[in-house]
Amino acid sequence: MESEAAGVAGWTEAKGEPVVECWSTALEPVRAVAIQCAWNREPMIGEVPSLIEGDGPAVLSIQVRSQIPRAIGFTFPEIGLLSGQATSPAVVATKNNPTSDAIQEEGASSPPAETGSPRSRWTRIRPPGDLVKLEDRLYYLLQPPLETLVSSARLTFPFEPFPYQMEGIGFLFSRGAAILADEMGLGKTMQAITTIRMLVMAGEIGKVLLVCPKPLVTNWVREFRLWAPEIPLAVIEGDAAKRNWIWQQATTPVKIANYELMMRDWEAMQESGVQFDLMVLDEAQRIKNRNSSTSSIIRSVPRQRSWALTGTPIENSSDDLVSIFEFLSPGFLHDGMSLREMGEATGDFILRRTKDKVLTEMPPKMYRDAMLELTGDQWASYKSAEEEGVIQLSDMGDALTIQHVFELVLRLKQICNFDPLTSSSAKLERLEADLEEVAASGQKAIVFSQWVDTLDKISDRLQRFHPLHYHGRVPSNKRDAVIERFRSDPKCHVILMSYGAGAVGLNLQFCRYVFLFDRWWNPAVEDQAINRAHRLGAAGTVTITRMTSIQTIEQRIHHVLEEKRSLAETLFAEGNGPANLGLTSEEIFGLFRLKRPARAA
Amino acid sequence: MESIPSAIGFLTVRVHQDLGFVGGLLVVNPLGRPLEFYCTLPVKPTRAQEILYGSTLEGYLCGEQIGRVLLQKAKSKMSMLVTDAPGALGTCRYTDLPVVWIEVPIADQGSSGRRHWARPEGVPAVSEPVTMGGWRVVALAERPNDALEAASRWQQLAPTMDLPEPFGRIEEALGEANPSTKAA
Repeated sequence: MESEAAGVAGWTEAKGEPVVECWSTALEPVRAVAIQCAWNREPMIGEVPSLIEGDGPAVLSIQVRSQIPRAIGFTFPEIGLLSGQATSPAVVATKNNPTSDAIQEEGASSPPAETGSPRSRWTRIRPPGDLVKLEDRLYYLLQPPLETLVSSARLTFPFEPFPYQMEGIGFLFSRGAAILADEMGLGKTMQAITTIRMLVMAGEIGKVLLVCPKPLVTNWVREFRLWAPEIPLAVIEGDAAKRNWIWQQATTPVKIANYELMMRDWEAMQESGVQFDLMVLDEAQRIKNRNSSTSSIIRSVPRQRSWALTGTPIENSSDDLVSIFEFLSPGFLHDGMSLREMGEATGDFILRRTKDKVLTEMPPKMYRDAMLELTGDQWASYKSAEEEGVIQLSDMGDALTIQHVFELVLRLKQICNFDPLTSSSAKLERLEADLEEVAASGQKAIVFSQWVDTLDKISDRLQRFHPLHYHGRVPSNKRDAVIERFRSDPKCHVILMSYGAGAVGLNLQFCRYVFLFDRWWNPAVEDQAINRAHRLGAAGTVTITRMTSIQTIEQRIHHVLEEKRSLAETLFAEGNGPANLGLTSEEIFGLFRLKRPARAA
Repeated sequence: MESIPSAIGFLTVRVHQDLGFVGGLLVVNPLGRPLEFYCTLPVKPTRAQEILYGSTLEGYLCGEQIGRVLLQKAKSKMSMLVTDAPGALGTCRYTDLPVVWIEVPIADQGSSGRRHWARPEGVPAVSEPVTMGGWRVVALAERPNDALEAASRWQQLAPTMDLPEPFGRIEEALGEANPSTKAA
């Protein structure tokens, strides 16, 4: 008990909980001194009645109740796996274990100087925005950082992932529907494989179906062996009986199929009754036409999680994105939505990073626009073909279709590559000169064209550079060997590729030079081609030479596409996708100042 | 050597200016995977408590009220309880578990790179510091063996996580469970 001149306070205990009572009054100083004297007085033997007249001090009681805080909580699935007891010898840290610590019994006067070093960066798994249940959201929020999961599972990587790649893994890890739309060359494959690996090891998934374009199957197998060597794979291949057998195998966690086989094997897959925990679409723009049978079949595969990988989620128009979402989350997007509405709705589902944002130390891309004059022979052929062609188109009246215009464009573009009569080529002259320099410096180059015939003609004149071919006429089972030879043979300085075969999935980062002998209709496809070389691991600046014949149809297309690229960059900067990166039918008619017939609308 | 439970408890208490004290307990396995999570609704002391408990208020709310309740909720057997809130050290009065507080270096001193160790106001009398998981931990002075025991158990369990890392998780989870406390 404590007393003061101004009042007296006391504590009592009730049922184990503190209750404070307080008496307060204004005692006159004299009375206070009297009480103090009474307390200090020697105890007296015997009973002395004492009568205090008048009112006693007023008492004010304040109950200080202790309320038990309300608590909520959850238990997580791992609690069932907890063995409960850790037997010391089995878990004693080894000498090489970075987590082992020596216990220091030091006094405060000599604190361990190097303790308390926080790790500079943790990559956390974020719950997806559409996850509503608090327990489910907390499950992801409370997971350890990826770096801890990696070290605890003793996972090794061929090289340490970049921080943005860890973020990508964290993004995919928790999502049932997601688009990883990183720019080509940032490692979408590695991020998907590593996430699959971690989910498999965490026991969250056990049946994965990966669908990719046929030429990329071997690339995926190679990347899986690199990034997840312990995960068994099954490639859907061979004759129908063998493929049926592979579909039936339930023990292989990851199956890899190509889009074409999905069409053929749909029934076999359905009969197998397999339900996948995860389905991943590589180059998901393959299903941009939602009415195609490929898209329908892909969407019909029974699955729990759906991921789409693509560097160009919007290749031609926002419809492409709607189609991909029909796979991810049917009905989530619809045709009538504006770009802004789509952007807001899909923000939590799409992760897109560009090299200039995340790879500030990556060597730059250097574009050179080689604006070339046609040779005399080419010019004569070109002029005649264009004049005659435009007259023919004009005479067609309402019968004119976009296909007619398209045919003329293709014919003129071929003349821009090679004169049909003499095979003279301003582009090839320039290419030869540039390749001399490339070869002299021990470097390698990729030459892209949309025509295999053009590549053959180029090849004839470049024999001294030991050109290799990678296009539709090269059997798919020989393509890996071509790439390997190009990588390892110092005499081979150039590889000739078609946009179709070489635009996606290949890792040619040892190439420092890319030549676009002719231009594709859509800059997104050109970007994919360029990024075969300009990707992670690129040794230096990648120089891209875009060959365009001036005063020709090529230059007109170039201007239209550049304007659209500029528009697309503006839209992306505002968080929206481009409306259309390729040429519209109006623009194709406009190349020859032709009016679009009403029936072609 | 005797067996010890492999779960580890991480207890934190955050103070929100308007709402009061919010506690969170995360129980993890040695791999850092979550086993259980509990949090309290905000506990706001009354004016009378603030006056009468004075400097002991934080210890009372964090240890006797919040820590005790959260600990009672947990189902897993734990090997230790780690806290980043010095006021929660008093939870040790309601459990046999070693309860330790991670001392956080306040600032670097000059260019020497030496860390400056200072304890914020209100930290109760504590034991000598011990290194655990690369960090300095202390226990209440009345439980002088707790810090050594916790460090010994940590070494036996050899968890793969960084000692203070789970508190970041708890903080985010508290914000998720009590959105109004996110600005705390």
